[in-house]
Amino acid sequence: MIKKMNEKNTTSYELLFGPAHPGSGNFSVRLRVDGEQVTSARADPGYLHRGFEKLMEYRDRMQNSILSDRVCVFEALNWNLVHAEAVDELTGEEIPEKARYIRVLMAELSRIQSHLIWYGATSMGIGFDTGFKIAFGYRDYILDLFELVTGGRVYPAGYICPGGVRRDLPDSAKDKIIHVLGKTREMLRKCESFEKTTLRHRTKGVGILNRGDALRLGATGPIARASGISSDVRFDDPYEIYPELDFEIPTRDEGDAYARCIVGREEIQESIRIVEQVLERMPEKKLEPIKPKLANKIPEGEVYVRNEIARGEAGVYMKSVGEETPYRCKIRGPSLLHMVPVLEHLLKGSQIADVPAIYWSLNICPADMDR
Amino acid sequence: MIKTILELIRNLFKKPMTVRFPHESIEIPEGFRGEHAYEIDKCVSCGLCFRVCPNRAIEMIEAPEKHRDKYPKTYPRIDLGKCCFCGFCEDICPTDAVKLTKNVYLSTFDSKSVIKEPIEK
Repeated sequence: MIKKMNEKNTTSYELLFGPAHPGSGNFSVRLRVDGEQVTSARADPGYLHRGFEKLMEYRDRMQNSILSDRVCVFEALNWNLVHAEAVDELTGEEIPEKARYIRVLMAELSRIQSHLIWYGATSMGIGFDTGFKIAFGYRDYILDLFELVTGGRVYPAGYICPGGVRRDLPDSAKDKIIHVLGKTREMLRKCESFEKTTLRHRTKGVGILNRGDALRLGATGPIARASGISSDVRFDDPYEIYPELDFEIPTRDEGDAYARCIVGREEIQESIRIVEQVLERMPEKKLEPIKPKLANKIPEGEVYVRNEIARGEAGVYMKSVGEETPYRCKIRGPSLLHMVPVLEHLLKGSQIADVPAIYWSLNICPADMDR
Repeated sequence: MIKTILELIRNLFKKPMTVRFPHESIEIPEGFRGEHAYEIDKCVSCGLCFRVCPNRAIEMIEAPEKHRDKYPKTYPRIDLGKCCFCGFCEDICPTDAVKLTKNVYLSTFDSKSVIKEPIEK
């Protein structure tokens, strides 16, 4: 925390929220404060830059799918999918039917666990530790599934790779997924019964983002949906097997931090519905594993692919000149617009005590913004 | 408020979600990507693992002097500190000389112990 006292006015000073704040992640916001009120805020990103876009120019398609895990730690499988789809579109490769189902299954499980982190982090930010422990505790059941299917708890190591998936689902996976879905429902029930004590009081009416501002500032995903904009790439520009599935897009009109929490929770319910449908329709045929190949060239061309990940709209622009490695790969993370213009807009005029609630309700991830 | 109290009472009679590590531990499933197991006798020194490694954690080195008669080629030395445990070396190995095991207990205070030599010196 930096304090700059103004000689004329001792109640106005500059406060640094992050990057060493326990609730900020690798990100910082400079707040101009007058008494308890924030008069202006300036986002200060760049603490987690790892240069993935440049690193991708030196690696082939399978090696890049490993890198795509790391774009956002909490949504590794979703980022795997965006990258794999970009390469698939360039190569024009036919993806086996079962691989498409597994891709959607894993992406939706990843969405659930990402929303659980969101819920947990928001709870922690406002001092509702019960919510934090419930969300992170139940998230571990989903990590157990990832461990079983991909071989790693957090990083799937490019499980969703160009051409399909690296290996088939194990035989015991279906029963375990059904068991975990039951556990997730149990968690949602617990959250609902606990949150009225703290979460609702601390987030209701806080950080209101109205529909016009959400559109103007480029909000996507659950943040836009909590402000009454019904937009979802899974509906607007469907990919994989989403057109065949029956699910709804939860929206709220309030636009406050509480509405964003509710949208997140309702999305978990919709994801559970999707996973159940996928499991029901999954083809029985055994899937051949995909192994890395050397000197596997990507055909010439350029492509932009967008997907709906838990935090919003994710995109990958890829240009290939016919070599093994892409000529250019641009990653569009949803957090950039949420962390800079939306956050600055919402923090202006708020109280210091509400800063963590607003900050975490935006479901932001410094990793996918800085890349 | 009543719902919250009911939930609290329900939790009193439930088993804890965690296990008492290190006395108990969660079973690690098949196919987990843990520490590498390398068998030098199966290795054909093709260098595919070295070429496919995305983090360049594998280096092909000659065997120590005393083993050079039996193992005259170059063999992979794996730096676990650089490794991201993707399992590409296991996937690409034509003779199954490199395999990833279930061992996850790799924390160490000795920086030299993270490097796995192909054959003991």
